[in-house]
Amino acid sequence: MARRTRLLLPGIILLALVFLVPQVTFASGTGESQSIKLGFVNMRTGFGSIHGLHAYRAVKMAVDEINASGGLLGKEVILVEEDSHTEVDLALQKLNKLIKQDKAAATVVFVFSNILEAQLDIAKKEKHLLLGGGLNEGTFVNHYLFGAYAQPNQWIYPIMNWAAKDKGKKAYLIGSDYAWGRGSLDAAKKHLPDIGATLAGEDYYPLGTTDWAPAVQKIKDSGADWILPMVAGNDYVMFLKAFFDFGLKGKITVANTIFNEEDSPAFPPDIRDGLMTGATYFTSVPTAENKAFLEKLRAQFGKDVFMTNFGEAYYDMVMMWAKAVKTAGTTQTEPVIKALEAQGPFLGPQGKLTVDPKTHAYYMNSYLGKVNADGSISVVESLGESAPQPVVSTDARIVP
Amino acid sequence: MEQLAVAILNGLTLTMILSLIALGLAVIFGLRGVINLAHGEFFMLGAYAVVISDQFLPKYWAGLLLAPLLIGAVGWVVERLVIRHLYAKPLDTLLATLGLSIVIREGVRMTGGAGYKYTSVPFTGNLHLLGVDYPVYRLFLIAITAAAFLLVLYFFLFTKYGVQIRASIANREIAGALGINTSRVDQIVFIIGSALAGFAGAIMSPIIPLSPNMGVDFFAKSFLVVIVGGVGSFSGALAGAGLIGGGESILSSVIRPIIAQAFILLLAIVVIRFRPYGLFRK
Repeated sequence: MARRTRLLLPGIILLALVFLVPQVTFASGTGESQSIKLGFVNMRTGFGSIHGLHAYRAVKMAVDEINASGGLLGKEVILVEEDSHTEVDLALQKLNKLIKQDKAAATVVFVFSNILEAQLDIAKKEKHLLLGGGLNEGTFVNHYLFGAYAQPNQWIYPIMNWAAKDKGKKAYLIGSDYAWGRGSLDAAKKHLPDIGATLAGEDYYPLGTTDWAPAVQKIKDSGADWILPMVAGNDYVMFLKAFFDFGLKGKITVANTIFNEEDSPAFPPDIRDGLMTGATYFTSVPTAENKAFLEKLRAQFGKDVFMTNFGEAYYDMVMMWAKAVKTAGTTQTEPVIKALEAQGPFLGPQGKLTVDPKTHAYYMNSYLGKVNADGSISVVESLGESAPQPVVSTDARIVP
Repeated sequence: MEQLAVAILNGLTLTMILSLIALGLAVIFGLRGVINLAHGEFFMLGAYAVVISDQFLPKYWAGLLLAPLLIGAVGWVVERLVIRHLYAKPLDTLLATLGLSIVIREGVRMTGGAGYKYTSVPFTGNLHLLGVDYPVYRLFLIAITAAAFLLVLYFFLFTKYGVQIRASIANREIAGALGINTSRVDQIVFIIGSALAGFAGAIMSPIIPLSPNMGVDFFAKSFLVVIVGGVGSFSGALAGAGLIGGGESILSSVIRPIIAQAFILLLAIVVIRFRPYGLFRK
């Protein structure tokens, strides 16, 4: 009993602190009118945590750059980052918090399709602007979403074209069994006839699959010339490890689309050397904008850091949002959406990005890259800018 | 025929790994009713031990030897500092080990980064066996896990400590009354259980991606193995792993993988319905 009473006082103090501290910070804060808050539901922990750091760096850089040039509408932009633990429920809670408690003007959201889909429901209900980036399966078209998301024709087709031209006509498609994996491969399947390729096999595996040996065996027996894997997150590396483990490197080509510098440390140098991958951005993209971008990035975060296609797209998206806020003269959702729709080309590190006002998707750039033994990725071909072709019909879109 | 041979070898790989992880989990649970939710993190630490030793010591082999020793030591510290105080309250150990698992996972993420790591691969290439080419390393993996399993079996069946542990699992009070130092038995079991997880992590490290989260999926599977196989039983760990890991692996090669997984889970439910204490517990 004595022990309980002893704990009582510290307990009460602790509780009081927990409840009071946030109130105090709000009360002593700079006040609503002095700043504009930009929310960010990131993935710092959990399944997708590997992507979180680079995404944060990119968004932070964009916000710092905006503030360094005088802020927005005379106000400072404050970045409020939340961690979703890569879970849908938590991501929704955090988005609600950013909208209702922080009164964020807009929120940057991460790429995982199941999370984005759920967040879009909230955005529609709360009439809140979501900013995204990276790549998707082409089914996210919404009034409240602007995303420098590469559509399948921008991030999948280039590597398929290369594989069909150089490696053979028999393709094997393998994916994670959820919206993104299936959606991406559906889009890929439609493109096979265009490049004269045929389907040697198709297979889907649940998220969290630990044993990829059966999958690799099926691929080996299928007689495929190349494979197009749409396996998400950790599973992707697990799959590739099994694939190389069974000695298929050099026999069957892997047409990578989501392989970047985050993934290369998972493989020994002799295995990663020479892998081919396609994306909208690599650290080595040879544009003047990218050179300046990397200089700033490395001055801020260390001389060896690299950037991912996700991060680069977030940077572009936040900069374009800031431009739209200036044009609109307000942070209110509808005027900013109108300004974003009317916005002309933006020169980002990857090259020119231009919005398609009908789908809120972007004209983006495609690159083919080769992974080097040291883990870096060199650009072997710049394919230039292309129009976004979302998979959903454009009539079904954009109902506020 | 060839496909069947490969499917069986694949199934065997996963069976042996899961049985090692599950064995550690099962003996700890069998002895004191503690479900160590940080067991998957011990598996992860075992793999990271190889990553670290790769940088200082001769490639891979040193790590493979070091990992079980190090993780056994980690297990011992955890038993002394945390678990020991909670034996009377098994439910609290769930909370404590869950907390521990988060601390270890996020601690590794903070110190080593969220990104992937790799270890050196001791052998590459394929061996012609049963009419098929199969990676040498996977064959080695099957052999060495089987050897480790037999070694632990020998320890439990034929050594003094092994007898003491089995006596304590069977009836703790009487074992204590007969002069067995049951507290020391607890420590030994925890060390062995942790070391097994660490060893499994080290042996798997060349063929799976290494990240702070890597233990989670393996833990979930091995937990299922323990439930299906029955706690505190060697044959249970092996049979459970064969059913969960091997079954799924072999089925996945013939039917759709998602159906294979669902089917195996259904089978597990059926087993638990008719044998609530697992396949091998009376």
